[in-house]
Amino acid sequence: MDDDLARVRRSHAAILGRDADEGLVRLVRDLDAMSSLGSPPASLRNPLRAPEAYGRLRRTSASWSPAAFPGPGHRRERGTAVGGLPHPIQSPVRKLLDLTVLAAPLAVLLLVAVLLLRESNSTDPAAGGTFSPPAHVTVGPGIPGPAIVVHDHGVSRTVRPGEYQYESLVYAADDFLRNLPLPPRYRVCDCDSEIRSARMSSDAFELTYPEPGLGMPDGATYTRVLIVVHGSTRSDAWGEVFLGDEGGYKRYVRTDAAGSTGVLSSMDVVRAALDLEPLSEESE
Amino acid sequence: MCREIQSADSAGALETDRDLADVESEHDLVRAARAEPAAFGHLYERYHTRLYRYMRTRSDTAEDAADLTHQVFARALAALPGYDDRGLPFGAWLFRIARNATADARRRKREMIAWEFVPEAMQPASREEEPEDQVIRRETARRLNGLIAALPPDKREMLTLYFVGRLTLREVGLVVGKREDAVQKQLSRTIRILKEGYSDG
Repeated sequence: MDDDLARVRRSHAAILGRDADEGLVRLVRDLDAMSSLGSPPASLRNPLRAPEAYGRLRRTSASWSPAAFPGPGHRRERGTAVGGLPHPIQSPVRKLLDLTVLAAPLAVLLLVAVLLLRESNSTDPAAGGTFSPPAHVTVGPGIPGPAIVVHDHGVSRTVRPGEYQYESLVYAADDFLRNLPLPPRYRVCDCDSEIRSARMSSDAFELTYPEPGLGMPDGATYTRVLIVVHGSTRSDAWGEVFLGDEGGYKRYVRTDAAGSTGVLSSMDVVRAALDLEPLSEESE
Repeated sequence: MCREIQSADSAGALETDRDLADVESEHDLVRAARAEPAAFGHLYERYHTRLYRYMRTRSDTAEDAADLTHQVFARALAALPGYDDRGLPFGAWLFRIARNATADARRRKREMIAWEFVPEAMQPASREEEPEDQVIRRETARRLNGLIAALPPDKREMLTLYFVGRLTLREVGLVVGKREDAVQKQLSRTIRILKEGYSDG
């Protein structure tokens, strides 16, 4: 038996047993060799490939209380911030100090939280509030309201130049993304259950919902829609962030396979969102 | 069981040795990642190739496999604070998440392929390889694929976790909910079944 087979015999002694003949060892060698083929595409990235973004995230999580935004699917372990990060405020003394420093922004956040909670309670069927399923939500200018982040892992295609039809927002928003400490005005959508399609024409977004009982408050209107689409690992890897605002939209970020930034990851989403909605002075 | 460290391939060195030092080191990595999420990158580096290959055996396309791999790491990252490594090594925990992710994906996408061990498209021919050798290698892969595809799903799963996922027998057991000795016996039996067909082919 050659060295290669002897190595395989040693490596897999537990399943080969002492009586393994050469044919069996060769089979395991071939299985081993086949199993070692194939490399992840270069575009596959660590979700944390942008440490600087994470640093910002941590700071942000201290400023933006996760409790201020109890969106759908919001889950949080005790003692951790959203996104599973260790909560930066740990001790009561530290908490008190931080609360003192953050008194003004917290007051603002509290107000936002109350408003959001009221909105949430009034539209959650389980909470006993009234709920009418919306057919669609449009984004219009000048109408106050939270923004929405649509995160698409799914299929998209160009309907015609300048118009995109996202027909298959097939995956729910990642828990990771869903739990990110976005500013309270943002809401991460469960694309699977809450949005069937997002149609973007030259002058408007139109989001369509699949069924009653899920999704947005009836007739909800958002001043901003941030649609994040990324073919995260496609061979023609690309990513786009669209910002819908003031009755129109613009492409905010686009990367492609040749781009130095690679494809968009969840961290890019965060960064884009925070850049679009810079932390106000009182919250920093 | 202790498996040798195998030679690096084009995707980088595979971590296959599960000796005590590695386990200790992994504990440290997990602890570091829990304290500072940026340290998650070390765990990612350690597992992403294996996890991708495992996902590739569960996906129609390389792109789907990569998407799923990304999702698994994102889920793991989010769930890391709640992960308790007592009795459940990180690798086994990660592959459990992977199994759930593939099950979710299967529910969403019914046309998912049943099982492909290593699709031919994934097997880039070595530039130095002679045409004859390429033919032999592909024929070997075709035969093995056929034999493996005929196995019951639970046996295929263990085989995949062991060979493709490079998990130890204990870790495979933790993922599929079996004892280590049961996994050992089943894998041993499975490769003997495969060998019968392989020899006959």
